[in-house]
Amino acid sequence: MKIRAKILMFLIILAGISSLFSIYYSINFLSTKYENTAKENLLKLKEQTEGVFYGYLGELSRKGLFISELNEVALNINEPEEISTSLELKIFFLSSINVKVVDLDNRIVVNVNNSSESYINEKTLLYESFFKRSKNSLLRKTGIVSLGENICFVSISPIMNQDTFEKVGDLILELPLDSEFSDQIRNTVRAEIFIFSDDKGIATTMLDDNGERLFPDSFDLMSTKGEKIFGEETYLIGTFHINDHLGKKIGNVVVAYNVSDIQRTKNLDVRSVLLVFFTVFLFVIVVSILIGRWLAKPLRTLAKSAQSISKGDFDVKIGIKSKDEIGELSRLFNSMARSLKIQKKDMQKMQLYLKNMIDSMPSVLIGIDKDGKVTQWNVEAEKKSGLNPEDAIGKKIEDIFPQFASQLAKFQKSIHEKTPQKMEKIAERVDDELKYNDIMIYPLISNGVEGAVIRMDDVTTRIRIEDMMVQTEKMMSVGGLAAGMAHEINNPLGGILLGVQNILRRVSPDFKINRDKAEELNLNLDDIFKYLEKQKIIYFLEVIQRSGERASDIVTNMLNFSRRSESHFVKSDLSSIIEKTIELATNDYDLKRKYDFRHIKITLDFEKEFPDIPCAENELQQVILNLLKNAVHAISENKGKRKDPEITLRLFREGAFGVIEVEDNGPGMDRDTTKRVFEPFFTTKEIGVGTGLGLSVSCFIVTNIHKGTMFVISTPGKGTKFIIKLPLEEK
Amino acid sequence: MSSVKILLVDDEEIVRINLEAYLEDEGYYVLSANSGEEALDMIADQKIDVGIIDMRLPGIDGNVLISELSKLQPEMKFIIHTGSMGYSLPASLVELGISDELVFKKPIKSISKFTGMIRKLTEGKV
Repeated sequence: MKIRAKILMFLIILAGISSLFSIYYSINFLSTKYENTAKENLLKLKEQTEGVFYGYLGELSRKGLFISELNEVALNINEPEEISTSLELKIFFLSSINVKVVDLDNRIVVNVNNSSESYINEKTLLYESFFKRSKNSLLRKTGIVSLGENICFVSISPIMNQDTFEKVGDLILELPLDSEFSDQIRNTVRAEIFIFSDDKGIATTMLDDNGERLFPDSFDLMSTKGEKIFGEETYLIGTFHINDHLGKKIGNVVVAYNVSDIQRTKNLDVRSVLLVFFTVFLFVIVVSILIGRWLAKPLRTLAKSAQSISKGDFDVKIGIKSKDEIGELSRLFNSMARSLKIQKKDMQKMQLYLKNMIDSMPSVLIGIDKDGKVTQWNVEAEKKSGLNPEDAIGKKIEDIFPQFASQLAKFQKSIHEKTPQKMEKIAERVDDELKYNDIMIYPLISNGVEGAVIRMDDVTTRIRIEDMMVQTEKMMSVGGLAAGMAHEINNPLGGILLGVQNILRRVSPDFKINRDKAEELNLNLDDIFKYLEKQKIIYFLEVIQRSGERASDIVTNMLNFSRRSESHFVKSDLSSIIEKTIELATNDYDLKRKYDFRHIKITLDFEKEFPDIPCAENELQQVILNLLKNAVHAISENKGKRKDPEITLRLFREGAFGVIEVEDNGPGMDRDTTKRVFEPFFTTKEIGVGTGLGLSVSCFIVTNIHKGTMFVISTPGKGTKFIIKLPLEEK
Repeated sequence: MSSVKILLVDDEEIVRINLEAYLEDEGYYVLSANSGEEALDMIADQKIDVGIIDMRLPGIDGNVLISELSKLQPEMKFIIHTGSMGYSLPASLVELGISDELVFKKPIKSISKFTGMIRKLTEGKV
């Protein structure tokens, strides 16, 4: 969550909570205040009502006294009409009070009813205890009387003749507690008044919607705690009892105080409070947002810069210059970025250095983790597998180098036991060629790191050199053997060859001496010769001679393997040696028998100003002649292939070496033959044709005597190329 | 007839008899011996023109024999006929005027090489 949002949320929560508390207390306060006011008002109203209520009783009493003391009443007791008329004139004074004049016999003589109802009659006077009195009683009496279902204020006053001081009757004033009465109270106290006799409503000031007087249920009304709603108005209810003259409860007066106005005021207040708080709340939000923004702005700048840094841009500079914590933070941030930049540079340098080191190794170096997944991949590994580091890293090693699959157990062992493992001469077939690798596994030894470094070296060349050395050794032992044998073989061989030639000579009719000897014995030499020819004896002898010669060649060649010290090195012109050798080949009788050298196109491609190099001329000639013979031999097998026979000889410099190439366009050799051409006694020629030593001797001369190298490239169907490299300077 | 006299020294019989037969066929007078000692005995009263000497011999070897013969008959010419492929002329023989072309290494493929060289060596003599 963003700081802005946090600040916003925090302030909103703070404002919200305080507002809620304030609102709660304000409303509570308002409500309490309203309630108290209402209750106080109600109480006042009730008291007022009670006062007014009983005031009417007192007034009734006073009015009774006043009227009873009027002479016109006392004097006219026997003239009721007079009294009635007089009383009717005092209607304003009496308002709704019923006036009755009772004579001494308890008869009502005057009955002026100003109220709509009157509940006192002669019977009432007889039976109601309030009215019971002695005839001459001068007692004045005022009280509340329950008459049937009704209640009245009643005042009884004796009517005295002022002159005689004799009682002439009683004046009874009756004020029924009806709606008219309640209306009068209402007009004074400004509250709705209900009067109940027991439970029956006898007076009400409330009108229903139709303007009819409304009598609410007494129980419902009086059980009301708090507010009561009539129509659209709300009322608080207060009650006081009506007790009769004997103190017995006969009814209730209910005061209904209209609190709608107060409530409206309260609601208005509550609304104002809410409005105020809402405004404050809004203000807080706006301020919060502004504060949030103001506080978050530098933080956002910092965050952006941090993002830039995490993306690798260490050149960001934060321009916040304030003196507060954020300013300090930004300064620290800038210095952090600077030191990160330096550190990264150093790290990159180091990484580059290490990578260079690893990449400049001529070995394949691969890092793997304990699951055999690649973690490091150097240039050699890339070259060998053809896979980029991006593609290789994360892959299983055996998926990239299937030849490792059989070594996985050793990898695991190495990692597990933290001991290096070495596997030598692991063979691998690449493009139909056998390659050898030495594989070493060095476990990572630091704690907590599980993995290993695999080092793989292509030792094919070394193994080939080793093989070649073995071959050389072989050849040298052949040479040593030959040197010992040569004399023993050459002597009898020399004799055999001389013998054959002698025999051929002595049977030949061409020599006179032979014919003379034949004549001595009376023989015809021609016949003898014919016989010998016929019997192929001459041919046999020739074959013996050729075989002897070949045996001689073999011995000579074998001896070449041991003749190192004898060859003396002279700086020579290789091109002239080559040309001389071609000359030799052209005149070679054996070669002519095979294929006429003159029919072969000889191409010479010599580098200009090729320097003289130290070499043993005779031996080198022998090598080149041998190669030429082989080339001719190969071309002679191009039967029917309609290829113009061609031998190309090249001479050029390559680094510290002079290179001689002899290339033919013969049938070429397959891989197995190519591999074995330098082996002693290996030959593809028919039995009796080659010695099987020519190329091995050539190779020996080049590698052992001249410290050069000799190898062959052959493509079946295209031809063969022998390449000789000789050091330009003697070592 | 003042024929050319050849001394042939070789312990290998087949070489000796064949070369002897050949040279005789060619009209030379040939004395043959199978050792240096025998050869020295043989030439006491005869003047030899050309000696064809094998190097490895029982008893005294070819080099010594040539030196001895040369002392006895300073006019005598020599062809060295050896089976040792590694043979090289010792200084003593070079002093006597023997050169590399007079060193014939066995086996000699063409027998006529001998007569060719003998003729060359005896040119002065009719």
